[in-house]
This record gives sequence, C-alpha cells and structure tokens, in this order.
Amino acid sequence: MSLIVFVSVYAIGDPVEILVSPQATIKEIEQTRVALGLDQPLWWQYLLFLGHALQGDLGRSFIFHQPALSLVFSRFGATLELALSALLLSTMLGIALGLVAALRVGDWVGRTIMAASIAGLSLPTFWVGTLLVMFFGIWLGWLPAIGRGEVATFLGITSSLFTRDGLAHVILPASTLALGNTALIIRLTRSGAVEALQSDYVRFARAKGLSPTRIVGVHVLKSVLIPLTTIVGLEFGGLVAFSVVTETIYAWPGMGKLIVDSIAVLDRPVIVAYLMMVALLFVVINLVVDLLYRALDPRVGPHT
Amino acid sequence: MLSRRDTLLLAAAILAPLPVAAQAARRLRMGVALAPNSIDPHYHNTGQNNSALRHVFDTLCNEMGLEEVEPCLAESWKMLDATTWQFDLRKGVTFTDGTPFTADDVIFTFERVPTVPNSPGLYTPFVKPVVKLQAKDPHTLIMTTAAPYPTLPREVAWVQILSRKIHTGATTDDFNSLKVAIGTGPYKITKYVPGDEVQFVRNDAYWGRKQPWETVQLKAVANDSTRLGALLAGDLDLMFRVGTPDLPRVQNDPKVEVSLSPSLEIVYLFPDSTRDVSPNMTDKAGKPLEKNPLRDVRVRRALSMSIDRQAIVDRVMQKAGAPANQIAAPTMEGFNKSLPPIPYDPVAARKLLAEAGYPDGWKMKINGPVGFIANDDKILQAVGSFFSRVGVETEVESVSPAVYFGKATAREYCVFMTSYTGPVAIGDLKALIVTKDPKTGDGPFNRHLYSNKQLDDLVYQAQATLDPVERVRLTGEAMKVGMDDAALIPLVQTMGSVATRKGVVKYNSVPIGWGWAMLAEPLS
Repeated sequence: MSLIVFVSVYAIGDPVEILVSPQATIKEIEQTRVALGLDQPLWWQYLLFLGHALQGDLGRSFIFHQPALSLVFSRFGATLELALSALLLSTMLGIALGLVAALRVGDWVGRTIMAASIAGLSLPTFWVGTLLVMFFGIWLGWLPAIGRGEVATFLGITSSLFTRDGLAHVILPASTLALGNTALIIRLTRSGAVEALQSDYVRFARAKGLSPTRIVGVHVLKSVLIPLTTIVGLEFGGLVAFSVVTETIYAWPGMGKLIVDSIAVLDRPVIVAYLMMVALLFVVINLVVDLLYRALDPRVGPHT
Repeated sequence: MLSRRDTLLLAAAILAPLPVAAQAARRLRMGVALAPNSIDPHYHNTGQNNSALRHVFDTLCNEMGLEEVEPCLAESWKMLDATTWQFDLRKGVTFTDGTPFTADDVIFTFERVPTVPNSPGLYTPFVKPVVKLQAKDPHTLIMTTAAPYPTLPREVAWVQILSRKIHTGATTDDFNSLKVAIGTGPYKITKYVPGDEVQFVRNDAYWGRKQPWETVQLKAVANDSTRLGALLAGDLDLMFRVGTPDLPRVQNDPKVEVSLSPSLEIVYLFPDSTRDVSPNMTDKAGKPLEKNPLRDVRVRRALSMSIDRQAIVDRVMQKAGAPANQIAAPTMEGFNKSLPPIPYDPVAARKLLAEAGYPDGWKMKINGPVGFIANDDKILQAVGSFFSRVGVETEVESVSPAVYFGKATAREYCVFMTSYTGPVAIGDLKALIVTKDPKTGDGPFNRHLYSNKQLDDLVYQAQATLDPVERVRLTGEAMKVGMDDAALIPLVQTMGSVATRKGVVKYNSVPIGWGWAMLAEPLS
C-alpha cells in the first residue's frame, strides 16, 4: 500500500513547487528539493522509507517538520471522540426509533420514522452540516459553529467530552456525522425486528404471557443486534476514516482535516502514515466485531 | 460508592457553566485560511508563517508593502558608502525571558538562517546579500554587501531576530514545543496546534505601543464559508478573506463590517513565446500547429487586448479587484505610473491577429489552478471566452495546485495563469521574466524561459542604483520593455478582504496583507 501512495503522489506533482516562497531563487528551490530528499530517484526514496519504516519511523512531514506518525496520532483523539459521539448518538437513536417503527408498522408513527430515515440516508453531509450551522450557530446562536471545545483529563484520557464547553462544541458535528448512520440503523433494526416479531419464539413467548417489554427489549433486540453489530463496526471505521467532510465544515482539528490539508500540499509522509493508521484501525475494528459476535450469538464459536 | 447526594453534586459540578473570564480581559479571535506550520521563524518562508510569528518575534524593519519600510528593532539606518550600511538598534529591548537584545543577536540570527535543516523554503534570499556583519557597539550594526544593494532594508525586514544566548543550538522542534519560542515581540505564544491554531498572550514588557488585546487566538478555518459562518455565529471576532460569492450578502449584514483593500497580488497569463512548437495548440481542423503563434508579439498583444479586464473585476470578482496593466501593484516601489491601461479592443485584436497571419485564429487549451487565487477557475473561463470571441477557439482546464505547478514548470502548457505577490516591482521582474539562470539564481518562476537582454540589463542596472528616484525610473523602464513585448499578460490585481464584528473590532489593512492582532483595534 505504501508503494501505491509513493507512486501516486509522485505522479500527481511536485511538492516543492507548492512549498517554495515567491521570493525564493533557483538555488533555494534546489536546496528545498535536497532537504526533503526529493532529489533522489523514486525507487531509492522508497527503499529509504522502507528501511526507516521497519524501525518504526515513517518519516517527517514535509510541511510541519514533525514525525508524520505522531502528527497523525496527535489528531487521532479529536477524530475518535467525534466518531464515538456520533456512533453513540446513531445507535441509541437508531435502535430506539427502529424498534418503534417495527412495532407501529403501517400507522403514521411508523411511516414518519421511515420517511425521515430515507431523508437521512439521502441528504449529503456537507449540506446538512451547513444548514445546522446556519440554524443553531448563526440564527439561534445556541451552539458554537466551529472548532473543538476545552479539553479536560479524566482517568488519564484527555478529551473535550469531559467539559461543558467541549460537549457544546461536539453536538453539531456529531449530529451531522451521525445522520446517515442513524438512518441506516433505523432501517436495519426495523426490518430485523419485524421479522423477529413474526417468528415462532416470539409467538411462544407471547403465549407464555411474557411482558411485551421483555419480549421486545430482550428476545427481539438480541436477534436484531447480531447483523447490526457488523454494520455498526464497519460504519465506525468509516466514521473515523472518512469524517473528512464534517471536520472540514466544522474546522474540527481531527485527522480528516489533516489528511485533506496534506493531500493539497502533497505531504507524502503524512499521507502514508494516515493511510497505514486507518488500515490498522479497520483490522482492529473487525477483530472487535468478531469477538462481539461470539458474545451475542453462542452459535458462533470454536465448537461449531 | 458515591452517595446519591455526592452524585448530584458531581453532576451539578460538571454541568455548571465554567467561570467566564472577566469582561475586562480583552481577547481577539482571528480566523485565517492557513495556520503556521512551525513556530521556528526561520523554518519555512510563507505568508501565514510570517504573519503569525511576527506576533512573537521582531524584525529590524517592518515591510508593509508601501513605498518605504518602517523602523522596528532598528530605529534608523543609513548608507555609509555604496556597500556599507549602519543600522542603529533600539535600546532597552529585552526578550520575554529578560535577556537584553543587542547587535550580536542580529549577527547570530543571520548566521542561523542558512543552517535550518529540512526546510521546505529557507529565508536565505534575505540574508544572502550581506557578506559581513559587525557590531560597532551593542546597539550599532554595520552590514557590508558584496555589491551595491540599495533595497537592503527591504530584505532584512523578512528576517525575524532571535537571541544568541537563548537560541544557540535550538532546533525547529524546540520552537514547535514552545521551549524556545521567545522573542521581543508584542505577544508571547501559549499554545500551538500544527495546522489548526495558535494562541498568544500579551507581552507586558514589550518595547512598543501597549497592545489592547490580552489574549489572541489564531484559528485556521480553511473553508471560506465556514470561516464566515463562525464570524456570524460570534465564534470569531475577525476573519480574513471573505469568499467572493458571500461578498454581496455580507456587505449588507448589519452585524458585520467588511473592508476590501488592494493587495500586492497580480494575476497574469504566461504565454509561451520561446518555443517553436508549443503544446495544446491546433488548427481549426485539430491538426497540431507546426508554428507557435505566440512567438509573434502581435499575437500576444492581440490576446491581451481581447480581454475585458473591467468585466472580470465587476462580474467574476464582485469588484474585489482592479484591472492590471503591469506585473506590480500601484502601491509598490518601482510601479510604472506612466504605463496606460491595456485597452479592451476586440476589433483591433482581430486586426492584429490577421496582420500576424491568423485571420481565422486557431484552437488552443489554456490552463490554470483551482483554489490558488480567489476565483481562479472563473477568471480563466472568462479569459477563454474573450479569446474565443476574437477567433482563437479556447478551451480552459483548471486543476488542483498540487498537480498544476509541476506541469507548468515542465512546460506542458502553452498559456497558463497564476499570480505573483511581491513587495517591490523589481522583485516581481526578477522572479518572473528576468532570464532564468542558476548562476544568479534569478528567474525561478520564469517557467517559459523568457529572455530579453534589454530587460535584464535594465533590471540589473536598477538593482545597483543607489539613487531611489533613478532606481524607480529604471525599474519602470524595464517593466515597460516587458509589457510592450507582452512577455506576460497582466490580468487583474486582487483585493484582500477582512470581515469584523461591527462595533467590536476595527482592522487597519496594509497592502502586504498581514493578519496581525497589532493592526486590530477594539471599538468597545
């Protein structure tokens, strides 16, 4: 993968052309090329990179002169907290609304929820984001329009979710990011629950006189959760990796904003470090999803 | 275990509003498109770094983009002979850790500039003219240049001064971690998040005017509309660069004050007048042209005359610009005031094309960047349609700057558009149309390798002329030679825009476009 990034960045253009100042003379431009190691042939640059990477060094950013990996990592927290808030919001809201829609199939409540979920799936993030900023940030002035709030450290974790100011800042971007997912989860939950409600075991449970709350909250929900876990897991990876648009609209100092800025100036070490990190993240998420599967569904396991 | 009461108290503590800073503590929140990429003032010469770091570090003189530079750490300067300068330094200035500022610190700074490793753009062009530095006494500095260098104060104005005592051996990382981010400037830096934000607090021991702001936040918001949204929502007090589509609306907003001011940026077209065959040009049937029409000066002039610059300013740029007739802004030293505006005359343009042997024109593709200059893609489209109207069927292609500049330098385009921003006219000439020569280092952005002996001679003569009036005359003369030959086709001068919260902040723009808290005044 690093090879693909190397070759494609090389094919796109020359970072030096973008970096040099207008007052630079030819000599400075050459010096810059040498300083960044871009005067070497591509294959040699790549071998050098591989050699360093094996020692855990992904190189230094052309722009910030900081180790690329630690630069990406320093932005990871902000993105993670945005993605987690969005995930929490979308699963809670999505499952609740999805169950309601399943129980009220056919009447106006069910139909309204389903119509809203279609809108949620089809509205583009940048549009919803801008609209939310206009409405809550500018007209009503209730919530801050940009940036991340104050951070606090709690149990060794530094996050803006621990301060009131930070929470106020995260609401709009998290809602924007959660929108598509919420809609998806509503639809999945509803179809899963509708199917489960008609299954034999639910009918037996009803016949045995179990309370409706217990039937829906335990038996139906459990069977719905299995397919949901896969989707939510994959979507979580997506939230982290592709929060680019949301982070740009809200000037949220996360990885997405960093990668957009880095691509614009062809900051190759950062692009490579970011992609490797995201790849690793997807591997970890898939592992967690598989483990969760076992916990939720006893049929999945070494003995089957 | 927490008791119920404890839990309630805890919840109340979390939900209670944080103590709001007393109103007396004035803070300024500025929104910029780009944040600095380092705190080391000699690491990367870019507009955003120079703007941001000057809050912390001072220079010998202040470059504002006007005809003269202003004193800063140097109170005055004079030429002792053609190659020797004396700078009288301000007394009683200290770095924020208490270290006094002396002439030796300037010497140290000039030694450090060329040695910063891994720099994507060194500050060496500004120290290179100086071959010897000498401290006559702690507050008198003698600089010697290899050749007469009348614009020396303008060059040293870009070099931010560090201290020998504090900064010996300091690396770029040491600055970025704020360990040695210590200067003599009006503010001290308290927080730096790469590519995102910088925070400053007032330096109460500053030698100059006491600053009205106690804290300053510089926040990068790349998207123009988001930045404006943040200002409207009250999350910013002032922001630079209002997006053109938003201009008419914001100008009518009662809560916001927008000010436009001419910048030093000139947008121009660079036609390939040097190769016999140039890419992207065909006859009307689609067969590549064997002869490059742009080699003929009549053709280049005809293309220039076919452009209605005023229309581009009025419609595409929403009046945030002005037609340009040369590669320099009117406020700059060396601007040729006697050059007439380039007329918009499609009839004469067609006649010139016919005279040059192209009565039916030809087909070509011209190129430009997207998002490098405000409205660059739309300006290029307008240019293309003006060319088409005089018979040169023009297709336009705009690509991301990341791709664009490499290709422009590789000469894959026959005509390309870009802009240049420089404080003096002679600098624009030396960067763009003086013969590209690795020996002199001049012509770094002369991408079509234009070369004109008469122009070169005038530029180098001007550069060595001590008398300012004569120097300006010679520079203007060189500009005229270049423009008469249509070596470049100037299009428009852009304007900088600043939006502030009305009644809260006033911003005093300077042509060079600094984004400084020092130029912002509280109104309430």
